[in-house]
Formats: sequence, C-alpha cells, structure tokens
Amino acid sequence: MERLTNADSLMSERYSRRQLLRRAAVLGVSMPVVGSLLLACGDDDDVTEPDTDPVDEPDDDDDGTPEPDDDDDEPEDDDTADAPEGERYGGVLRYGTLGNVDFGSLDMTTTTGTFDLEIGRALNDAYVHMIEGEEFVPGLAESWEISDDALEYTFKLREDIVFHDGTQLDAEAAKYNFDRMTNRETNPGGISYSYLGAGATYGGCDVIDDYTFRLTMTEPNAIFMFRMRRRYVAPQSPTAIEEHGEEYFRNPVGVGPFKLLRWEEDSEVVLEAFEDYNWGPPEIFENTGRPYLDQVVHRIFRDLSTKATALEAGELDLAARLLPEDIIRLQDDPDIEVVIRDQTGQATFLSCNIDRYPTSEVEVREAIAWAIDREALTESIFFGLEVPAYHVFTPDMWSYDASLEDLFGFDPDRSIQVLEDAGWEVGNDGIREREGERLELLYILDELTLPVGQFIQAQLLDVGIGVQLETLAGAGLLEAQLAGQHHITGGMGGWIQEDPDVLRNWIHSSLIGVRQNYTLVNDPELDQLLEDGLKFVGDIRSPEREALYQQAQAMILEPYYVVPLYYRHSFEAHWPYVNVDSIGYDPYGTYHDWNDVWIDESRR
Amino acid sequence: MVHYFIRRGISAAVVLIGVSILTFSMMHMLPGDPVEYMFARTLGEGPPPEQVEEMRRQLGFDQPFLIQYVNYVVDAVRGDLGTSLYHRRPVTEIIAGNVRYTMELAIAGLLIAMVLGTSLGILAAAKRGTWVDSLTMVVSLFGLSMPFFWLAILLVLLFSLTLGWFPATGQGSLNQIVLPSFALGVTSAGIITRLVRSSMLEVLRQEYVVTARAKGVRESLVLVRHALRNAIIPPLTMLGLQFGTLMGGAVVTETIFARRGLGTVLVDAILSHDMKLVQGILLFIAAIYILSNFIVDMLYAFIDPRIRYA
Repeated sequence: MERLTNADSLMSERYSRRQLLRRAAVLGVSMPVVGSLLLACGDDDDVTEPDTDPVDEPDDDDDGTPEPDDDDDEPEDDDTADAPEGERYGGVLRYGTLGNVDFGSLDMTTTTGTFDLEIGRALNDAYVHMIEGEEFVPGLAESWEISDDALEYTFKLREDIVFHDGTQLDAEAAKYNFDRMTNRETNPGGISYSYLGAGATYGGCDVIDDYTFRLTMTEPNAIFMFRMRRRYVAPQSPTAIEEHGEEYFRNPVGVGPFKLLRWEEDSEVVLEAFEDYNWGPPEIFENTGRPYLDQVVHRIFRDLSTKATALEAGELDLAARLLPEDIIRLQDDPDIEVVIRDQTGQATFLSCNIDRYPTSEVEVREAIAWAIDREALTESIFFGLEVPAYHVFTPDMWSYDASLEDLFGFDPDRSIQVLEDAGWEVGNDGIREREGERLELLYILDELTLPVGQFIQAQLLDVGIGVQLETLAGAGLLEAQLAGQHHITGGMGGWIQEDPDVLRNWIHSSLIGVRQNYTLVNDPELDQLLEDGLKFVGDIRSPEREALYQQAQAMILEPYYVVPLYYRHSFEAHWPYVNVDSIGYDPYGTYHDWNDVWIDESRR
Repeated sequence: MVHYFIRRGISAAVVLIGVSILTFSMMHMLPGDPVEYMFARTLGEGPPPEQVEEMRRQLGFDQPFLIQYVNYVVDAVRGDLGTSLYHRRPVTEIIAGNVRYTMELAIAGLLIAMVLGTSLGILAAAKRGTWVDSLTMVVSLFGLSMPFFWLAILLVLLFSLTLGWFPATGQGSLNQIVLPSFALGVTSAGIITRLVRSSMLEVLRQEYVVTARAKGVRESLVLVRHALRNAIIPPLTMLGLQFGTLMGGAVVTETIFARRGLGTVLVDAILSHDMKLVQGILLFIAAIYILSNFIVDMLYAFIDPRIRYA
C-alpha cells in the first residue's frame, strides 16, 4: 500500500515535470539555458559516445512517432525518384552537424575523436563496404582473399581510383598508409592504430603487385574485416601527406565523393563534390558517380537547441542530433519533417561495481534491476522517444539471446522480497539496514544524465535503497569511474559495433582501472570466452562462435553486473525539399553518406 | 600624472598575476587527467598505459605544480601561451584568429548600450517625475536584471522565428549581428540609462543651467549642449568598464547564436579538456578587462585633474 502511494506521487510528479519540460521546450528555454550551462560543465557523454546513435532496424519500433517509413541503409530500393536524374545536380546542403565541438582532425587515419568521422565519410572511401545481412561488397578493393589460418588478408585494388590531388591509389600508396597508421611516431593517438590491432595482432603490409597488397596478422582477429570497412583506415594521398607534414590533418586528401573546400575553425567545414568520383558501391548507392550536391556545409552548434532554432529559421536544411524536447516541438511543425532512427548495437545501461560493498552482493544488484520502471522513465524524461531496454544488446545484434530479457523487468515487490531474504530490513527513514549497515549507494553520473539519475534515485528509494547522486564532468568523471569510486554508474552503452565483441570493451578484466570496465568484473572464464571469440578462426557468423557470445551474455546478465535501461535513438529533422530518402547511413553509425542526396529546388 | 600612471600600472600587473595564478590552479584543481581523457575517447583497445605516461611527460604534466606554473608564466611573458592539445596549434594564434569576431560583437553591444542608455537617460531626466520617467526606469530595471541569454532566446523567437526579420544564427552580414548585440547590450544599457539620468539630474540643478534657461535657450539645446556635456563623464567611464563585461558575456551570446569567436572557442576548449587553451582565453579576457579598466582610469584622470592627486 505504501508503495502504491509512492507510485502515485511519482506519477503526478512525472506529469507535471513533463508538462513543464514541454512548455519550456515550446519556449525554447530549457536547452539553450540548461544546455549552455551543461556545455560549460563538460558534456562528457556526448564527446565519448558519438558512435552511438542510430541506424534503423525497426524491430522495437513502437515509439509511435511519425517516422518516415524507411531510413534504410540501402536507400536505392525506395528512392522517391520523382525528379529526372539530370535535374538533381547542384545545390548546397546546409547541415547542422552531429558534433557540438569543432572537428579535431580531418585526417581519419590519425584522428582521436569520433565526430570527425562526419567529414571523414565524405572525404574518404573504404576498401570494402558492408550491406545489410553483414555481407561485404567491393569498395576500393575489387576483391580480397583471407587465408585459411585467418592470418593473411590479400586485397586487390581497383585500378581507376585517384585521390583528390590527382595521384593514383595503388598498392604502394596503401602500404604507405598502413605503415603510417601502425607506427606510433606518425600516429600517436589515432583510432586507426588500435583498430588495425597495431601493437597487438597486426603484423605488417606487403606490396604484391601494382594493385595488390597483403596485410599479415600475428594472431587471428575475427573482427578485422569490419575494421577494413571503416573510414578510419581509408587511404590518404601519400603525396599530400609528404607535402603538408604536420598540417596534413587540416588538408586531407582522400578518394571520397567530396573534397575539402575549406575549414573555418570552430565554425564550419565546407565540402565540395569531387568531379572524378566514379567508384561508389552500386550495392549501396544509386548514384555511383559524382554526388548530386555541389557542396555540403557542416555547421557546428555548441547548443543543440540553437541548432533546432536555426533549422526552423530556415538557416539549415538538415539538422542531426537534436534533443527530445526540440523534436517534440518540431513534430508539431507542419513544414518540417522529423526522422527518428533506432540504433543497432547496445542499450544504455547501469554498471554495478561488484568490487564495492554492497553492490558486491548479487541480491542488491537484482533488486536494482527490478525496481526501475523503464516505461515510466522513457516516457517522463524522453517524452517516450526512447525505448525501454531489458538486454544490453539491441535485438538485431548477431547472437542476441532473447531468453535473457526475462532477467529484467519492473516488479518492486520482487526487489523488496530479494532484499528481505538477504536480511535487509527497512530502517526508520525508509532506507534498509542490515547489522547496522545502511543500504546506500553512490551513483556517479554526468550532468546530462542527471534527470535519469534522479528518476532512478526515486524508484530505488521506493524499495528501500538510498542513492546519493554525484555529478562529475569529463576527465573527473572518468577518473572516478576508473577508480571504482561508484556503486553504480552509467555504462558505456550506446556504443555501436557490428559484432558482439563490443562486450570486451567494457567487461574484460584487462580494462579495470585503465579503460571502461566500470563493473570491475574480473572473471578469467569470461575473459577467455571473449578472447576466443575475437581470435576465432573460420566463419565469424558460425554457430560455434555464436555459442561463445551467448554464453558470455548470460555470464554478464545473470549475475546482474549491468542493468539495461533504454535504447537510444537519433533525432533528426529537415525541410521537405531535402530528399531525405536518399541519405545513406552507415549501417552501424549515425553518419550520413551524401552520394544520393539531392535538393528539390521546386519545393524549396 | 606619470606617478599616477605608474601606480595604476603596477596594480594592474598585480591583478593580472593574480588572475594567472587563479586560472592556472583552477585548471589543475579540476579532477581528472587530461591526457587520460584524451585517449579515453577512443574505443576499448586504446593505447597502453606506457603510451599515456609518455604523452603526459611530453606535455610536461608530470612535473610539480609550481614548476609547471613558473614555466607557464615564463613562456607567457614571451608571448607563448602554449599549444592547444585539440587544435594542435599555438594558443596565441587561435586567440588572434578569433578575437575580432568577439570584439565585433562586444563593440556592437557597447554601441547599443551607449545609444539606448544615453537617449533613455536623457529622456527620463528631462521628463522627471512624469509617467515617462517611471516607465523608462522600469524598462531599464528590466534590462539590467534580465538574464541576457533568456532575452536572447525571446528575441530569436520573436524576430527570427515569428517575424523573420533577422537571422537566428551565424555571422558575417550586418543583420546577423543585430539580435546578438542587442541581447548583449541591453544589460549595460539599463545601467547606463540610470547613470545618465541621475547624472543629468545633478547637472540640471547647476546654476549655469538655470542661467541658460533664463537666457531663453531652447530646452533641447540646454539638455544637449549644456547639461549632457558635463553629465556624460561618469556614464562614459562606466561604459569603459562595461566593455570587459561584454567580452565575457559574448561567450554565452556566441553559443546561443552559433557565432564564431572566443566564446565558442572557449566552450570547445572546455568540452575537449584543452587546458592550455582554456587558460589562455581566460587570461586574455581578464587582461582585456584589466586593460579597459586601466584606460578608463587614465581617461578619468585626464578629464578630471582632481583624481590624479587623490
């Protein structure tokens, strides 16, 4: 009965909060104000998680929002195509880009930041591409061969590919790039270094003939082909690298559909169509040649609500990564079309520190897992635009074990029962105690997720768990998390990866204290499973490998090391004259491909 | 005069040193390691700890606080504020490349404050005690107590989204600076209005004003030629002081209007934990503030000889 009352009050609070936020959103108040303060506090979440957003795979697509039906990876099959081919050419697309800070580097092979990929995708092209069904199709490499021991990858390049500076892409140029990326001197902090397994499994690159090169591994790496499709390892012009030296990251020269026109720091990056481009993958794009658009202007907005305003004022044609409160407002605007995309990969989840009492007890973790009403959480904080999650993976992740969903749910009675059985009795102030010890948890989080934290705090109190919230930003947040000062904290959820190997990034014991293992789980058996999965030789989608990951999922979820909360989406909006159906997306990322995009001037 | 100049100069220098210590230690007191953070943005399999340590050593973050500070000051005196980790170029170069956009905005804000503040102040003083006076005072009170970022949002809603008169974001053309400079200048305008009014009222009581009126000079001439000339000195100095405030306010204004300038660079630097750049910009803004104060002091002494010997 007592609990019911609490739930009631929560409902009413939720209602009023929602009303308030809605009104604030309509005024445009909440985010510009809160947002700029947050910005100043260091919006850690956003800097670290750009891989997150969307894709589509509308499995759990029940958010009831008017969605343009298909924002598929393969836009060709449903292109509206109501303008003749010839009339599509021309125009400048003004795009409010994903990142809220300036780009760090436009050279994808040495970049350390993930938002840079927005530019990287247009400037570069990949050796291979991946289409739905996880099938690889030719890109810059027209064919490839993987040795039976999975240690040698031989790629044969197309012979007609030139860089933006007119020089030829050949095997020597490819080798030059791989050598540069796998050398700490020339690539001190770049993502490509670890992507290629440099310093670990990467052996070297050999030129076989003019257009054939071979990459050697010292150990099998099951996810290597996934890495070869990333723009992080895309070829850069050796001539331009030699010419610009240290300044190359400002003057990138790739083989992509667009070339760099200018980079006005802290303001915008302007890309221009590459006239000679002729190697777009026909499996993915309708237009395999020069892009329709003449230019794409990537404008950077620190304040996400300002970006929405700029779109409404007609100063942008397309805006990516908008806030839920702005999306709610824009949905009511008849002139603007809103696009909401599911993400593929992982849920946003809580990590429980199993090395610190009392979250070291499985009963406490189980109680947390069952005390959170995810429906109410997504409804009140994200206006129902995000979707509750009961698993760390999205259902379309390969090897997804749906039976594990039953481990999670909303049943406070179950939480209470579990805690009582474990000897935690309600104390005077409603917080449980056992042998003089109070059931109080420290929840470390960043400013942006504070509303989520407050919601969880209220719900855990309902079952007698006290939660103290501590907000930290940026490096401070990371340090506290690495040191395991928390009982619970936001996990690395939202990372998109095409393979369940992503688990290794936040649960492998070698990452405790140095990387993002915030659960502090140190289980040699689990480590071994994940390593076996990584070094798997043979078909990487085989039932044997799947069994490894299903076992790993169970070993992580059954002891409640983590508590899934919700699946994130990406929120975008654009004017109808932008042919949005023709925007391509990385199947596992939120980044746009502009190859097929065109502007319908007649509707502008 | 020279004596006074030197005295003020020394005190300005002391303040500047204080500011440098504050900004420097502030950045160091922030929890977390910037190098660790830099690498943490990459996926799980990041560089090994030795690599991070090496980077830290290269950047000099492994040295004791005091040595780091002394090095910083020595370099700063030579005009070297360090290199931005994120942009990979000298901090001074970044500041130099962006300062004009912020100056542009601050000066435009100052103009708005001056024109609006002076005319409303004169109006209120001339119509003292009437409803015009009361209304002006209420409006100016609103102006100076309204958070300017909130005003900025309201301006965008009305003039960009509803009426479509001015662009909501960006820089470059003249009409793009109207809303941001207005939002920025209104607070100062409120202060100036009240100052001009009280200063005018004081002057209007002077005997030479009475004389002028008695001679039959037109009231508008009395106000502008006789009274304003003398009454404008205190507001003018206040305007100088406001310049530093406006530079600081530009940080938020630039963010809201998505404009280029020191403000956006500073926000970027904070977001990307670019300590050297944050320090550099804070120091620069503080220096501008101190400098404008110093210049005002000098001007004041020049205009009013009594101050020099005080």
